[in-house]
Amino acid sequence: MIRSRLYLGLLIFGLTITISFSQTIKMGTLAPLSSPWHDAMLVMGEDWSEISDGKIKMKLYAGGILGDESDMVRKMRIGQLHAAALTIEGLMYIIPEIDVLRMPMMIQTDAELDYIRDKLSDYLTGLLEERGFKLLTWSDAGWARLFTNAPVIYPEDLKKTNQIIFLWAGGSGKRGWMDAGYNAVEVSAPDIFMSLQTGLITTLTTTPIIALSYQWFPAVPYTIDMKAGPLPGAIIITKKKWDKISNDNQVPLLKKTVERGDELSEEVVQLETEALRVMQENGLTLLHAPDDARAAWLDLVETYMYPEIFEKEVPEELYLQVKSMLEDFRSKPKE
Amino acid sequence: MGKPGKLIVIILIVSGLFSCSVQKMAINTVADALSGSTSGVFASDDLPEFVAEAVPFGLKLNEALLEQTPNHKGLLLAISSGYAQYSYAFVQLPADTLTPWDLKRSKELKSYAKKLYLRSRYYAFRAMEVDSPNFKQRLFDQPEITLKQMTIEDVPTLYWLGLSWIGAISISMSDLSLLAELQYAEKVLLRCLELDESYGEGALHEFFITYDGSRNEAMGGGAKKARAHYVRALELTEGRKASPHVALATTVAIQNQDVEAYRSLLNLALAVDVNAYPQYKLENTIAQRKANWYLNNIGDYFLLDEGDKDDD
Repeated sequence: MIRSRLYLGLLIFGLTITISFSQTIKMGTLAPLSSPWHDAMLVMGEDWSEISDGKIKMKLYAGGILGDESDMVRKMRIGQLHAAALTIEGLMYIIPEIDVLRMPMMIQTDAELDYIRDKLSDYLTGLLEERGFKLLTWSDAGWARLFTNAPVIYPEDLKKTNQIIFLWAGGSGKRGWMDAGYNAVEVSAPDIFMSLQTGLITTLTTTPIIALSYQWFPAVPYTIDMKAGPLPGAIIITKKKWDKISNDNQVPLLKKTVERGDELSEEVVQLETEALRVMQENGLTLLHAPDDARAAWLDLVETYMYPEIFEKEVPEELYLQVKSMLEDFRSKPKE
Repeated sequence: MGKPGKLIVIILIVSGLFSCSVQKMAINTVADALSGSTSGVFASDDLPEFVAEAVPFGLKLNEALLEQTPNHKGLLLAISSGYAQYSYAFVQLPADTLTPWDLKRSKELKSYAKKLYLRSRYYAFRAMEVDSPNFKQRLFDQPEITLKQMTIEDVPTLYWLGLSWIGAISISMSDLSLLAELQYAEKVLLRCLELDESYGEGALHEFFITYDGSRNEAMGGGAKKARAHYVRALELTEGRKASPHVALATTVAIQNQDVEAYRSLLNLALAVDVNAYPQYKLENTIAQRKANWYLNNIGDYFLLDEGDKDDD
């Protein structure tokens, strides 16, 4: 009897140990199956399992099967989902202030983005933690640029070629474009493809990888070598779930995940170049924007777009801080 | 001696004894027989593992025969369809149903499947070029005009061309050069729908259930389109096939996170009597295995409460 009690005790003890330390982290992403993002997250899952001797397992829900990024944020808030790889679109549901990183025509290079993000790192991660989330790694999705169905280099070309500009339904920008005398239409995500096919919209701003992956580029086969803004992203986890991971595992797990995030961001840079190349082979025309064209675009967005963004999304004070940081960075001699 | 053995003897005899023109005629006769009749032998088998071992030999035999009669359209089509079907059933499907963390093996299998799909596409293009010289180049240069010239007789070859092409693209989304060609592959299959929507007793609609169901509306797909293809596929197959149910369950039901529809569709697939329709025995056996796998791994696709309780 004593032996059987001991045995039972050991069994219960063993079971308790397993429950205490075994973690399944459910992670969501919009990244399609077999895409570089999906592959990178599967590798992260392997890392996590290896670091924790198999005690931490990632269950990945890819391809947007848990809904869009707002749905994933909602599911994390109610504890159904533990982690997500989000673009800035999703991060804005938690920290709208992050939108300052993609003010149109402001940040122009990866080095500038890294510099500004480093400077804002404590501020942004602090906001995330205040709101119940832990940053695991930044992970960028490329640079947005203009795609049009006729050659457009200067803003005025949009009018000359009767372009109809796509805007996200419920987002900002319509007032600015209309005030500037351009034609812009708000379209919800499900209707973009059909709107491009039917000519309801003829201009959109997106990344080359998305234009290719979503097969939008045949309908908008012109682009310019000018960046409209970055599309940063991040992999985050709920604080509640993060705190359940032992300290011994947290440190190496975070270190490895940051490494993977950096690798992925580097891969995205290469993929973006590759996407532009293959689209050019399949009918895309890449136009050159001279300095005066860039100046004209910057003037347009600063005059007509920025006021609405300050009003709705980004505090003007934060923008001015970032602008000052950028001027500082640009004035420093580069290696 | 089995059928392949007999065929080799026939080919050897034909090669050694007959004059050139008679040899050619004989080879064409064998090619006709091989391209026309073997698929039924495989289709009515309910032992996928056995078929998986036999198919590569059959394909290589066909390729050997093709060297003697390089423009035999039927043989080209048979080889194309053989590679695509083998790739899907015996390479891609095992890769998809591996535990997600056997990443290395999964990647190896997907890379292998991609090569097989591309080989299928190569033969389909060759088959198209028998009657339509420079078809491939013309398809890239002027897809709409080129496809408009095609007729209902071209549908079987166009079907395998489009299917193998999209198969290769879908398992290697990192290959951006291939991804950029999706627009052509899609046009090929849409043209098939225009020419003969009932082709293959619903095969085209089955493809579009998966294709439209796995892309959201912003990409040109969506649940509404997928469901319409599902309804038409059921009409054309008259309930004899399990695969339309599996296709809708693994795309639309997952995308909508509709676990009840998922279970119900997979159970409909499992309810199909495999022995009742010999022509679909192999296909239904494979589809039912897939259905079982998806039912057993439901937690990989749905956020189920049971899993959360274990963790928290």
